[in-house]
Order: sequence, then C-alpha cells, then structure tokens
Amino acid sequence: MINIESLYFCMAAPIFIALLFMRGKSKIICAFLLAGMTICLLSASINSFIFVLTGMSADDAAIFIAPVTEESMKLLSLLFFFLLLDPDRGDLLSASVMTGVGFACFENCIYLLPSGAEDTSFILLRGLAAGVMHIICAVTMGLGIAMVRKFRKMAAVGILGVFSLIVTYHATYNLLISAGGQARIIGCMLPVFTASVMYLSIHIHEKKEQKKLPGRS
Amino acid sequence: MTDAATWENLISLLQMLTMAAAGFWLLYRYMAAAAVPAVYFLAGSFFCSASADLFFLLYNFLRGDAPQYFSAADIGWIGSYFFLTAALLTIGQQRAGIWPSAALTAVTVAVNLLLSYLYGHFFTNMLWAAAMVPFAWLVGKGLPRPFYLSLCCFLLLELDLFLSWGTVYIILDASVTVSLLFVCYAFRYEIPETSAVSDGE
Repeated sequence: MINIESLYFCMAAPIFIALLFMRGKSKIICAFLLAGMTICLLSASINSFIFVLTGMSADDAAIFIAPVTEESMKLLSLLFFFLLLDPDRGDLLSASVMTGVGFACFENCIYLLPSGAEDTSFILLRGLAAGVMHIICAVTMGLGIAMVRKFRKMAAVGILGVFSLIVTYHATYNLLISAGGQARIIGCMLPVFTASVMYLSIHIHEKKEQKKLPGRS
Repeated sequence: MTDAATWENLISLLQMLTMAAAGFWLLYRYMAAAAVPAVYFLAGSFFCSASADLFFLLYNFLRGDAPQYFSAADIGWIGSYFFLTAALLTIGQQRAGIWPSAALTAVTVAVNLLLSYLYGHFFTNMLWAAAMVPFAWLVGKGLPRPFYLSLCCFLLLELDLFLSWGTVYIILDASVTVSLLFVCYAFRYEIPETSAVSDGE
C-alpha cells in the first residue's frame, strides 16, 4: 500500500515551485498539469468516501460513481479557468489537455507503484488505454467549452450536454474494462481508436479552415 | 433472456446505430453551411443518445440485467435533452404564444411526478424533469413549424414510453427512433434562420 497524499506531495511540490519561476503560456500548461494531479487526488478521496457510504462493489463504483466524480472535477477546474480568466481557444485547449495529462499521470502512478509495474499488459492498459481515455475526455470538454463560449445564452446547457457525453463515454470504458475477456480487449482499444478519429477530424477541420482564409488558394 | 427483452435490446441496438448514423449525416450534410452551431448541438444530442444506448446495451449484454442504479445511460439520455435545448436556443425566433409551451411543460412535469409516485426515485425523475422542462417550453414556442412539430412528437412519445411496459414499450421505443429521424429531416427547414441568427452573434 502507498500513501497517495505523500506521493502527491513528492510529485506536486517541484511543479508548484517551478510555477513561481514560469511566465506566459508555459505557466498555464504547468498549472493545469498540477491541477490535473490535484483533481485526481481529490476524486480518489471522494470516490472512496462514496464507495464506503453506498456499500457498492468495486466494479459498480468504477462504473457508476467514478466517471461522474472524476469528470465533474475536471469540468469544474476548466470552468473556473474559463469564467475567471476568459482565455482564448488555444489556451483553453492546452489547459484541458494538460488537466487530462496530469490526471492520467498521477492515476497511473497510484495504480502502478503498489504492483511494482512488472506486468507488461497492465502497464500498456494504464498507459495506452486509461491514460488516453482521460486525455480524450479532457480534450472533448475543452473543445465543448470553446464551442459554447460564443453563445453565452446556451453555454450552461451546452456544457451540461458535453459533460453527459463524456461521463457516458468514461463509464462505457470502465464497464468494458471491468468485464474481462474480449470486452476488456475492446475496452483497451477504444481510447486509442477514439483518439485517432478525434485527431483526424480536428486535423481535417483545421485544414479546411486554413483553405477558407483569404489569400490562400 | 425473454422474447420481450430480446426485442427491447434489438430496438435499442437499432436506435443506437440510427442515432450515430444520423449524427454523422448531420455533420456531413451541414458542415458546409457556415456558422450553424445548432448542427453541432443536434449532432451532439444524437451522439449522446447513441452512447447512452451503447452503455445500456453493453451493460445488459455483459451483466445480463439492466443497471440497478442511476447510470451513465440515464446521464447520456438526459444529456441529449440538454443538447436539444441548446440547439433550440441557438435557432431562436420562436413565435407561438404561451399556451402550447405551458401545455407541453405541464404534461412533462405531470408525467415525471406520476413516475415518482408510481416507482419512487424522486431525485432521478426530477433530474429528468430538469432537462425536459426547458426543452418542452422551447418546443411549444416554435410550433407549428415542422422541426418543432417533430420534436413535439418525440417528446410526447418519450413521455408515453416512460409510462408503458411490455409490447407497448417496444413499439413506442421504435416510434421514438422514427420520430428522431423526422427531427433530423425537419432540421433542414431551420437552416437559413439559424445562419441569420448566428450572423448576428
């Protein structure tokens, strides 16, 4: 067993000190890496509390509780950034990506350190499946907030919609992973597949936008 | 698995595939129409519904039973209402009086209260109501335009679905899928007005 608060302190303290010496966009990136790790710590505590309170099985807790708490915490951090500092689209996307990265990295440490990180399949599962899934969820949230920000009137409902979509995706991944067998394999491939589709869609969309710019053929 | 459960799963599978296909079709069809945020919200609604169906089906398939608690499927279905509400807010330009909105909202609230009375789960039903009531209000404001009519049919079928069981439930579930296809088709009538609204943003 490891004490996750101690682990958090060891990882977060150097980043926090580094933040004091950073300026501009790199400061935002570093701050949200730290925010992602903090959110992971808080989510783990809240999940454990609700798990004990409801008396659910571990699998049920992973499917019914964890997606809601983890994604709400990520959403709150991004909303805080969005409402207080009104960042531009690029900063918002960078912040969302780094929140996902910080969350995924800290969660991987929590899972891998006690088991000694000797099982290759488990390492791949944590790195390429769960890690990528958290980044996808965070990026989708960032894209969603960036999209609805232009329309203040429906920003709240739009954000709630995006949040629901992300929670459902996260819960589906957890359901597949907890099932074992072929479902687990499909679950492992789901985040990489989704990330590829998302990357291609964004890439194609950006290319089309560039072509529309005046002065380009 | 009983025959009814098999049919229910089959309809859910068809609904999921239809919603996903409709979402992609919307994005493909209207991507060229510049600055139409309602397209994204409507597609988001279909994707949300499809992912909720996927979760529900997978849970049924892997665990042999429907989810016992308020699940991600419920969150996804509720989320599709939020997306639809956002799409309606984007389109704007509602003209009808207050009565259609009041009637639809009253029916929505009444059904959700009735469900709470019949089955308990007051909190869950209130979450559904919180998503459905603003949607019902906005749908009423846009009647009798084709897009709003199709949304009205969808809402009423969904409310009927909540109160039904057995074969009726299966038939209504299939009808909801068909009504969403009409929503997808009727959306074409809102495109010029949407563009006009977004130009003013």
